[in-house]
Amino acid sequence: MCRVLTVLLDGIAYGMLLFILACGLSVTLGLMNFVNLAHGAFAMAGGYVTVVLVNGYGVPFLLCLPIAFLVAAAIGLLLERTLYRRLYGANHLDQVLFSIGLVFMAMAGVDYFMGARQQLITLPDFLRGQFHLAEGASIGVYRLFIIVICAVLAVVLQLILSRTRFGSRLRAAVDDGEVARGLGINVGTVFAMTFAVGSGLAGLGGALGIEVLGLDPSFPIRFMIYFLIVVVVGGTSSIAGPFLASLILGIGDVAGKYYIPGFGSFMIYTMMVVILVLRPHGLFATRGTS
Amino acid sequence: MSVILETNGLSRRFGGLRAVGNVTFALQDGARQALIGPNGAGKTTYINLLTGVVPPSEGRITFLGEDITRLSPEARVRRGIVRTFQINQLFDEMTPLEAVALAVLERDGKARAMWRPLASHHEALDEAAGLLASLGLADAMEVPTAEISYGRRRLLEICVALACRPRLLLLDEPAAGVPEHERNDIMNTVANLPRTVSVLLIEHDMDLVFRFAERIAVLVGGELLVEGTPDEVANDIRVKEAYLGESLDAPAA
Amino acid sequence: MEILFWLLPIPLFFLFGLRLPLLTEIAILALFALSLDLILGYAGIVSLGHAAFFGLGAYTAGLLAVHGWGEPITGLLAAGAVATAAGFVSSFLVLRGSDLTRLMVTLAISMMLLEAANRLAWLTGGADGLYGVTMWPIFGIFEFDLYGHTAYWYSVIVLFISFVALRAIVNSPFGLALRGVKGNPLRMRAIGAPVNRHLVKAFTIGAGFAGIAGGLLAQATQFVSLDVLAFHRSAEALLVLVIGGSGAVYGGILGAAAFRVLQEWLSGITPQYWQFWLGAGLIVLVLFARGGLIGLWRALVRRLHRTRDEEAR
Repeated sequence: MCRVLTVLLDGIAYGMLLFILACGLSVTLGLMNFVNLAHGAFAMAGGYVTVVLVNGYGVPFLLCLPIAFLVAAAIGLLLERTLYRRLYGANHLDQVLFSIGLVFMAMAGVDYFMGARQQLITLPDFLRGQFHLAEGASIGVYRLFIIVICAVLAVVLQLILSRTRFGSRLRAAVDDGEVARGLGINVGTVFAMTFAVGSGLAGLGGALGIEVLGLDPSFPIRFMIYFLIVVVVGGTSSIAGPFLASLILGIGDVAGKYYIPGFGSFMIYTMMVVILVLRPHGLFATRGTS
Repeated sequence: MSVILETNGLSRRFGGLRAVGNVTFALQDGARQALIGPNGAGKTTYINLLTGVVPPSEGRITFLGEDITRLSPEARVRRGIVRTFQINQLFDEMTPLEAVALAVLERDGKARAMWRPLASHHEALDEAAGLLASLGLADAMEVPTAEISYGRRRLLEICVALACRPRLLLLDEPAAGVPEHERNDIMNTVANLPRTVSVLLIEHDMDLVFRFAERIAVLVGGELLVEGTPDEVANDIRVKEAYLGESLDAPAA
Repeated sequence: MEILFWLLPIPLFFLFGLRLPLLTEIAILALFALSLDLILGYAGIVSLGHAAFFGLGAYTAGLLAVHGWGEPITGLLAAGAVATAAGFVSSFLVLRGSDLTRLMVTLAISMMLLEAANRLAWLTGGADGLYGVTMWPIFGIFEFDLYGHTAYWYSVIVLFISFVALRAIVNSPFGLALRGVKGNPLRMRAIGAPVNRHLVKAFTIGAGFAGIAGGLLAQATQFVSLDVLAFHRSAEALLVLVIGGSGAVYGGILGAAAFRVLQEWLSGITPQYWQFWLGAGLIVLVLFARGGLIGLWRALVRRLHRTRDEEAR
């Protein structure tokens, strides 16, 4: 029973992390219909920024998190303005090829500067150790930290989308770009802002994930499939969809690796297949839209 | 004359919205029928119900005496219900000859043939060429589709549908957006179709409707308001109300 | 022109006698790219996991040879058959949903197989690779020699036969129907075409030829590693089609040659980091030269024709 709780909490932490990593992708996909396979590269950027700052310059870990967000967001903004925007009207194949190109460049670049090895950071003392919940059940303090941060972020994102002017513009642009333009909304700016925030969140996720997911140059490809599953299963029309999909994926993956070690990551593929057979257009697709 | 198509109490709701409600309607074999109605009257949904793209919420569709309510769109095409589109749905990267030949081959179930080159399927190619020629497209046969004039692409749109050998042809605003000097070509093509093909024309242009149709059905708010000869429809007070402000007078022939 | 093209392997054999393994690899990569072209260039299905079928073929042929059946031709056919069957089964999953779903499912299938091959180390050799692939002579006559002469001719001939078959398919009514599905699926349904059945067929055939390409690699190099299922292999095939031009049968072959030569050259300059240039090339191609080599060739031919027409006037 207690072990179940531990696995569940680990899975939730993992799922929350996936959500922060992937939610930017789901928004850019819903908004611009752009298949950005390089999303993981922004996460990797955030991770490496943190590694360099913590290990090389002794910057406190907590301070690194916003920096990771900002750096990834800045790279995202730069690339969106220079390259991505040229391909908004292009077909999915071109977008796929373009973003794979970016992934390869990012991987080789990181390999060149940082080497191919796994990167480690030393967490501050207060984030280490175990937090005891009940008899025998415990959760790593760091995982609890992840859960809290990501939960706060998810709530903030939901509030931004539903309560702010930017959120309503964003939703208008997602629903119908033409109409939004007609209402005087600068769709290009909304795109750029969203892309930057999405990349920044990925960078933040990458920084938070060093301890949990590991970090090496193959990161963007290793997690590409996870991001895609979150987006396809969760859909792109809300925050809640990808959030629930991330949680299911996280808990399923952790539980699968824990209870059926030989089965390993087949768990998530099996889940994906089952979901896809039952709901070909994702868990949360509204009927009739395809 | 016998009935070729019949819909009984056909309805379709989207969420709480009723797009088509309780339409009972019969189309005679060989008919020249128009379906009109203001925007949002449910014409498109009605066509989608007939072609099977959208399943009905209630009601039944009978075609040539067979209940086709649950048939797939492909199966309906094979039975002879073929449509054209209001916005051209063509194969831009094919020549008209290839596009029409493709429709012929699919109709005959030969499009799954893998080992003989297309060029050796003479019957299909000849039939396609003949159809194109009969619509005055002989000289455009080998020109990339994207390079032909808009009006002639509208003709090609009809030609592809004819290649499926329809028993019932659903024409969705065939002359939409066509410049005046090319309109006649399209209307003549439609008027010259053999009587073995029944035609249901969806059209906004009343000029065309009254020139072509022998009977007119009026759809308003998803329901069938009136069905009758052009004169009956033109003089019906309810139709005039529905089309408030728009002239429905039959043009002096 | 075409005959000349297919005679090229003969002078290449004498000119590059020492680089035959590279030429063999080009032939295999070309076949793999051709098989993807049927799915992507003709049927319009974007796949990120075509390596799944390549890898299945490679392990099928490799395992047969390791376990005592080293006859190459039947081994190759078995590789194709296994990949065909896998392609058929997975096509029903792949073809559900949108482009994005297809990307995800194809990627997932290849990742799943990679994971399986890694875990079943007792069978596949896991990360160490599958050693002990010993091939019998082809037709009992031509031994696989140390210099790779036999492997070279074998690969070129298999490529040629597969090329002829694939070209027949794309030039047939079925090929036209595939172009129709890619060009306008809505209209294809409106003329009563069994769109999904066409796509299932194309995906299955493409998977089968990918399996043959994989089997060929296993037999020619007498070794199979997890690499055959890796993501970068699927990406390579995509890249080859971008370089060469997709939806054009010669595109895959030209692209494979250009790609491997470039790869050799770049990894000569910056070993390890050549992926960087690969990525940069991909971006440049997508942004500026979407027709690939075949596109350039066609543009050139069109221009030549135009000037000739003008001169004739």
